[in-house]
Amino acid sequence: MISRTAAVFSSIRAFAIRHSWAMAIACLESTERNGLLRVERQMLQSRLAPLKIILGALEKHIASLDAATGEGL
Amino acid sequence: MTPADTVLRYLGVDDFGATRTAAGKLTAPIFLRLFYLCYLIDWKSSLERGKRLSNFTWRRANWGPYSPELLSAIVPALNRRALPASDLPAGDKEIVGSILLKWGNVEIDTLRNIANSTYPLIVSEHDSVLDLERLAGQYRKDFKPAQKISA
Repeated sequence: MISRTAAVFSSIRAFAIRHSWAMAIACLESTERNGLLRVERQMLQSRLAPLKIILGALEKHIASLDAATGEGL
Repeated sequence: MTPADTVLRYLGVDDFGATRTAAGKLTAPIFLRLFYLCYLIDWKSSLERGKRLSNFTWRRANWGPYSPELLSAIVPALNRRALPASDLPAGDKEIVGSILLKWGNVEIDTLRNIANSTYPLIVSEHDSVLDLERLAGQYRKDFKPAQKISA
């Protein structure tokens, strides 16, 4: 049996973007009709915590356009 | 456009000889440093004047900007005297001087990071040719207005 949370978070796609600060956009999809209506902030935060850690670790290794634009390049 | 050997001689390429091995062979950092510096010079020139300063063809390698013309020009340039700044046209001198002043003596990792974060290297596929003039136009059109709005 699929848990309620698993049904809501059937897919997460994330993008690392920097625009003066680290930012990620997670796109949520649900296999369950109206499943996203039950998404709560607390649930999101706990599920995305590992992603935040991974992005934080990768941040220094990802070339950011901001570094060059900040130098006029 | 300024020929490759002239740009290299103005950069005083033999000063980079401190990175030679005991056998007198050049180590990788000298090549990387010159690739990054010459690429930044061409990118800055493309941004400010709409044309590259050198006649290098740039490609996107795994590690950053690569130019076959620059690679073949480095070794012959090593034993030739550095050119005085006055030998370059005024506009070229200003661009080369500003890049050298800011980035000429930084750590290679810093240089790599700044070069690899420029627009052409961010948006281009591996091994593709970097058309700096076209990309500079695209960058000015798409990103400069957005920067002004967010500032």
